[in-house]
Order: sequence, then structure tokens, then C-alpha cells
Amino acid sequence: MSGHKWLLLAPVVLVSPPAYATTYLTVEQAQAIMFPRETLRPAFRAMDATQFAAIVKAAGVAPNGRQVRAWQASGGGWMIVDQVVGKHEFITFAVALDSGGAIKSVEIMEYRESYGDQVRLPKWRAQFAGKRPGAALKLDQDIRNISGATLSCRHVTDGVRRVLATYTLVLAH
Amino acid sequence: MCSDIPLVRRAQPLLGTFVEIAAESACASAIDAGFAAIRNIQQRMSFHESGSDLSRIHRANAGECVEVDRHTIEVLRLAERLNAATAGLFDITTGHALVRDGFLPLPDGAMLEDCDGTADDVEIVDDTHVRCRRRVLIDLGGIAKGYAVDRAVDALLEAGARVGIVNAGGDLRVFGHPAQTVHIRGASGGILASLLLENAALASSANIDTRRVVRGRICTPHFAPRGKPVLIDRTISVMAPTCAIADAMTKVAMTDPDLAELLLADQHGGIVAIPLNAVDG
Repeated sequence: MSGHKWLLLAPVVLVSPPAYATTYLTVEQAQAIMFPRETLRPAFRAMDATQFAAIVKAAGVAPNGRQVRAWQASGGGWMIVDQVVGKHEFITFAVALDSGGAIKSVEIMEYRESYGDQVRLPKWRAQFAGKRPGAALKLDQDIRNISGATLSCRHVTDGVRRVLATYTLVLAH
Repeated sequence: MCSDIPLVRRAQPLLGTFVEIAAESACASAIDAGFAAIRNIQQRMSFHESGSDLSRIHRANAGECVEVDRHTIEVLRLAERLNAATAGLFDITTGHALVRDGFLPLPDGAMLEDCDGTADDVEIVDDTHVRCRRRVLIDLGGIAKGYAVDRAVDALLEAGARVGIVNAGGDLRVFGHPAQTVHIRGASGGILASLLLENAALASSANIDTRRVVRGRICTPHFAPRGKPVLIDRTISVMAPTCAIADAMTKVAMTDPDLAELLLADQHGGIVAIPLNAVDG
């Protein structure tokens, strides 16, 4: 097996994008991964005000809206797609539940970050002083494999808890 | 030649962050094995989950022998070697101070003043047993993420993947050919540096966002000798052959970059030199 190597690349002039976006899975791809060889039937529901309040009480987080995007799998399980919105991030995720309502897995479907409000800060802008506009722009979606201070997935964890409560209160009947 | 070869990518919320795994599309199913390996390490070494090996060690009485997973022992062994090599700078028993300063919750049933054991009190009995001479609070946050990444890479390779990456919230490791481009991002969200990596790991650390004020003092989750908090304004990134080492060494590099460079040089690793004009924070 080859040894390890690295090379510091010449600095790319990035108009350091104020937003990153990655789409990992479409709904169909999530279904295929979470429920291989099963068929999924859409079972969207609209929750009423009572259910909404009950979910807030049970999960400690309010749903994004009244609609529950759910699919029932031929094996009896459920797939639910939901979103969480943080200070800078917007994340769509899918939760797979087994026929007993227990979590099988959670997959991130789409991850979007926006630091738009930082663009106005003088320090952020200073790094581009003197650089020609339009030089070597890299598209947001091309930037992968990022190392930096760790981001917490707490929002998604809260969202999963909300999905579980939604299943119990809206879907399980 | 560097190229962005088409990889299948997935991400799951694990280890308290987002874990991304990518492999060549012909081996997409290997990604399941990668996530399973991450989950296994999480279950064993979580400070928060009451069923983890770590929690069982915390609940044990002084002198009590605890049976744990082989991976847990391996991490404890690695921590012990790093503790010795860094003259105590790398120390997993900072769990006590982290609980004291509010970065971690006190485990159920524990009294903080009873758990003041240090790294010297952790005795590895054999490949599956550990005993603490005094009760300790161990935090593996500085090494377990990197270790989980390494186990995921092992699982991916075993499942037939030949090229890919595992990235646990910024602690990452690339494997296979060709080399892959990775980026270091600063606290403001901008890219500070980019590297071409081949069969190597990269980990980054910063503590601008993880500071608390406790009784008028600034506290961070990183400790220098004599327990003083480490305050740094820049992102520190470390390269090493394995992610466990890279992860652990970011903590050392924050306090003593010269020592970190020395130890990393033995491992053919190093601290990444961020270009001076890159604005961080």
C-alpha cells in the first residue's frame, strides 16, 4: 500500500463563497438506501393544531409546518423527510423507522450553509483587498472535503426527535 | 495528477457532528460498512450514552476491573503513549475539568470531587480490561473521532472500496488513488488553505467558538500545563498517517506547536502552515 503524501496547493483566489451546498441524496436515492428492495407508498399527512402542540410538548421543538412528508414501506416501516434551519445552515434529512416506530437510520439529504451576513464584515472583505474581481472563482458546489472547527449536528438530533414524536402522534394510528 | 474522481457521497449525523463517507460508485454499498464502524465506536466511547464503555468505567469503583471492547483498550493505549510522549500535555482525564467548567455534563450518580483521578491512575490490565486506581472522568473527545474515522476507512477497504474519504466533522482521512483535494476552513467560513492528500489524515482545531466564562475566567475545552486554558485565535491543522494521531495532535499543537512538530515528524506528519494573509476568525 502506498505511503501517505500531501502537497500544499498554490492559494486559489476564491471569492470565499458565502454559501456551501451539497446534495447527497434525492428522495428516490434515500428510499433505495434505507429500504432496499421494498416499495414505498406516499403517505403525506397534514397535522392539526392539537397534534402540532403535542409534538412541541413531546419533542421540545416545533415542526416546520403542518405537512408531514412520509412514505410507508411495503415491509411496514416508514421514511420521513424533514428539515432543520440553523443560524447558518439549512439541512434536509430522512429518517427511516421500522414497523415498530424505532429508528433504523438517518441520512442527510441536502446540506446548505450560508454565511451571507459575514460578507459585510470588514475583516472578511479585507482578505480580498487588491485581488482582481472575477479572478478564479470556484463554484460553491465544487468545494468538498473540508476540515475546520467541528460543526454540531444538534439541530438534526432535535429534528429526529421531532420526527419520532410526529410518527407517534400523527402516523402511528 | 489531482482530479475530482466521481465518488458516491453520503452523510449521517454521528459523533455529535456530520460524518461524510465517500467511495467509488462501484463500491457504494461499502459505505454502509463505514457508517456501521463509526456507530460502533460512538456506542463504545460516548461520554453521554450510559451504556458506553466510558460510562461503565466512570461508574466503576476505584480498583474495580471493568471489561470493555478491544477498541476501547486500543484508544486508551494510544492515549497512554501520547500522554508519555507529550509529558502529560495530552491527557484524557481532563473529563474532570471539562465537567467542572460546564463543557460536559456530570454523569449520573457521580460526585465530581470523588472523580479526581489522573492519567496515572488508569491501568490497562489486558486487551479487554481496565482498572482505575482512583475514580476518573475520561473524555475521549480529543481522539475518538479520529479513531472512528480510521476504523471506518478499515471497514471500507475490507468491503472492497479502493478510493474514498471519511470526514467526521472536519477530522478526515483520504485513501486510495488518485490524491484528493481537501480544504481548511477558518472560523469565518472562508477557505484558508487547500491541500492535495494521498493516504493521509487531516484534523483541525480551533476554540474561538467553544469558550465559556466561568466565575469571571475565560475557559476553553483545551488545557495547557497547570490547567490554564488555551486561547488561540487561529485554526490549527495537522496532517498524519492516521486520523487518531492527527486528531490527538491538534490538541498538542494548540499549546506546544514545536513539540507537536517533533512528534509528527516521526510519523511523517506535520502542522499545516496556513498562509499568513489568510484571514481567520
